Amino acid sequence: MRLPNVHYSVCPHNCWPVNCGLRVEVEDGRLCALAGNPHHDFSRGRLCVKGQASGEIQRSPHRLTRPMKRAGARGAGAWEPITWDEALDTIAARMRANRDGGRPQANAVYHSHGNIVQRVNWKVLTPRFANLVGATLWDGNFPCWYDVGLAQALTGYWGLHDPVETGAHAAALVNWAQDPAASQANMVPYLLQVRDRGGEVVTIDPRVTQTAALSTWHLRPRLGSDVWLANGVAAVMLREGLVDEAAMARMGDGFEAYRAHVLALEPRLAARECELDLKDLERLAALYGQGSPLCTNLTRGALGKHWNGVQMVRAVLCLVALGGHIGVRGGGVVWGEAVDWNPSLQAQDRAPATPAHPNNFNAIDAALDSGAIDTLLVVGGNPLSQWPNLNRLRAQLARVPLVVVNDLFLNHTARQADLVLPATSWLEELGLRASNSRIYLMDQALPPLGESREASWWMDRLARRLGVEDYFPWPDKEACLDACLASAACAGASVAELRRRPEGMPAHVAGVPYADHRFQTPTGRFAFFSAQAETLGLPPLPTPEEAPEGARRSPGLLARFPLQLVSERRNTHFHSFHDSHRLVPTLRSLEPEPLLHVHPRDGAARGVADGDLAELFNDRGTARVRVEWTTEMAAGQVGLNDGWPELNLLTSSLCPVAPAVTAVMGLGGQPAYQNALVQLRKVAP
Amino acid sequence: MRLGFSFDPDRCFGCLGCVAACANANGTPEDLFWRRVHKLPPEPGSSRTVYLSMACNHCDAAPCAQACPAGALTKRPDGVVQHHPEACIGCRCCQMACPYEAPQWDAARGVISKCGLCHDRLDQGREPACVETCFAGALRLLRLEDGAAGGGTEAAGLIHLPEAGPMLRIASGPPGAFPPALPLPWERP
Repeated sequence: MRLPNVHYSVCPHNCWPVNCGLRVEVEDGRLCALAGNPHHDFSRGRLCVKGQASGEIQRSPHRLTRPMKRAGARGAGAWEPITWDEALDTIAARMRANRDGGRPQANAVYHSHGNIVQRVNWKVLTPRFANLVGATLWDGNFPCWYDVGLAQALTGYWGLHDPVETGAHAAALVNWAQDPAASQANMVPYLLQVRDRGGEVVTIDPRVTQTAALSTWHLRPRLGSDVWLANGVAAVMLREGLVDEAAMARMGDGFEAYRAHVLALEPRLAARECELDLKDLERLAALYGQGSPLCTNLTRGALGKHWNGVQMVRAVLCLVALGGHIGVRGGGVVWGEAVDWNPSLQAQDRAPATPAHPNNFNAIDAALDSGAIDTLLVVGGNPLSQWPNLNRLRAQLARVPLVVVNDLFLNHTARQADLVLPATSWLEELGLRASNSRIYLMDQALPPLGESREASWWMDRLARRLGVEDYFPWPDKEACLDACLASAACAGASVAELRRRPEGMPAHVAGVPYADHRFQTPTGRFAFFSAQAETLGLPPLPTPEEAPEGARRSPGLLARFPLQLVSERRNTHFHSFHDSHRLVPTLRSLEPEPLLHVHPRDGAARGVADGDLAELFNDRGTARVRVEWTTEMAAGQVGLNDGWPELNLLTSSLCPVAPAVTAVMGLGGQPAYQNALVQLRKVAP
Repeated sequence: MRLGFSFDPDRCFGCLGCVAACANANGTPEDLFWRRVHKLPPEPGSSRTVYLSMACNHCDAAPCAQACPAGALTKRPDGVVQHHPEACIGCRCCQMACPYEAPQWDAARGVISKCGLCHDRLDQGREPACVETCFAGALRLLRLEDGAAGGGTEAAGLIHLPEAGPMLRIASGPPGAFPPALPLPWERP
């Protein structure tokens, strides 16, 4: 029998596609131990540095415990406690005025990882709130992977392979611009299984990454040259007869056009554009064309953070198809979740006719800039760290009449807000989590701290104040989750059943995704040539384009700011959670300040030594950083962890996908975080 | 039986999970880590950073225990070098004697603190926290049988330091299978 004080949940960091299992012990309403769940079928008792330190979130003395309103000017740091009723009355008054004044879209909800780690909040409860009260909804995933998603939607192919299957069956694994060792350490056992079986593990990244340390081959192309690389490899494959062209023509639309497009590219020219040897492209072509299952890891949205990201992902997906890896056990692409919750609960049918501002950074920037947003509810997110070009954003947010932040802690954005609402932790809520093939319960282990309440609790009370009585029609959260589980993928699952299965439950999804070669395009075929893209004004075939702010297209800017800023990921951060993890002692100790990776040659040329304090700057801002000399960076590039707001003082608001595209496709609109030029100078300590 | 750590640099990827697992399991204070991960960035022309995860090596000759005037560091029969904070006088001689900077100064309590190989977990048949959490299987518990073949200080892969006899094996072992999930704690009907 299970001891009454033992509960199973998952890690609160929103890794992708699988969260590690947690086992927690509670006594007298207090967390006394937190460790990996040894029964969890994916993580098997292991936790990374963030997971091991996550008990410190629960025990933190810095948690917000009651609603507060600012007691002085915004950002002055003075707060006074208020009741939930007063907070919700204040918000409801403005939202009602906006709605009754004919501009409901001036009410905006932005929800991000702190909220969407609870999968029903992401997929059901928050969209349901926005639809029922008629507010604009900005999904926290737009900075992460929306351009990758757009490329997948245009191609009709989402990958969806399970890393467990990759570990067991892949003959080779290509981490294309992915560093799972730094961002999702729980995928490493499966990566090593491929290597231990003698398979090739490839990392494609200009930097020497942690995953490169585990790889059998590391390819370092020029930053942003991925379309050249994928198309060049495809050209080699087609020239050398490594492609079953008849099968491609059967599976896809426009294969002939793609074939001609790629064959027009001289592989030697592609290699030169990538700053690689032709033999590197030939070796990669041999690997993709060898006929045994090759898995391409595109788990994170790294490519989507490039100006040309949609095309990069399109080019890679076409290469995956060309090698015959689609619908093959151990092949395909590792990506995201395939488990759907009950879709009818989103109340999409009751969304008002007024078009909301699309979930696209261009649209968001324009809405904030034009004063179109009156009331902004930020739920589990931190725009003033994670959105680009923070000095611009800061000025925009200062003009929004009411900014409300719902979080565990007073983060960068909350400090500039009018109201803060205390959130419950993941151990204080009953919730659900899914991977690409499994469902897990996040059991409630503890009562809410102080007056903290979960998002659906206050959304219900806010909705009622706006005349919506049926936002939360369930008697309790368990009934709500059971209703969410009423979907084809979750058949047979219930909270009660999941509670008996700390190892997780299999979802009803295809064992080998896309084995039937049915794709999510209007024709049901794989889009080598995307007619849909052409209609939307995007290149129908994967086409390289240099970024407007980069080494090649902006020589004038390059003369002043000769370093390319790379947004990195390290194990010690999950974006800017917990105020850049400064409120989690173990993580703060391991990375106490923003650490800039600099090639020794670039450091020496500027008189900036290893360990020095320095300023990184461009026309958008200046960031103070600690310098680490490392040959892991390519000369001419500097790398900063994306968990620090210092990074986004320097990134630009440029976003390649137009809002009109997002309005049609529901995806696209990632800012081009990876295209920023900077300069570095020493500062006095 | 002599216990220590086995470390495979071909599998470590510097995630720091072992560092935090140690802090989580042992409740060490902020900024004080019994285990640390060192990084050697790639040589010119190389594409590989090498990581080294290190804590106390539970040396055979235990220079720390020899240097301790208070008897606060002792060697267990299984080889674990155990620290007894109640006997520690805070002289920090052990820190000067240790070739690996394993003993850490706990300024708040005025005593030394160090890795005890999770001996309480070992006594319950569990692995040290750092070993248990390692996603790569890079860090493992080293068990050398006394008198058994390969059990001497010259055993393959052991760091050779005659005056200390560290129980740290740097070796690329056979590929370790990712251990399966533990059976469920209760029977399902």
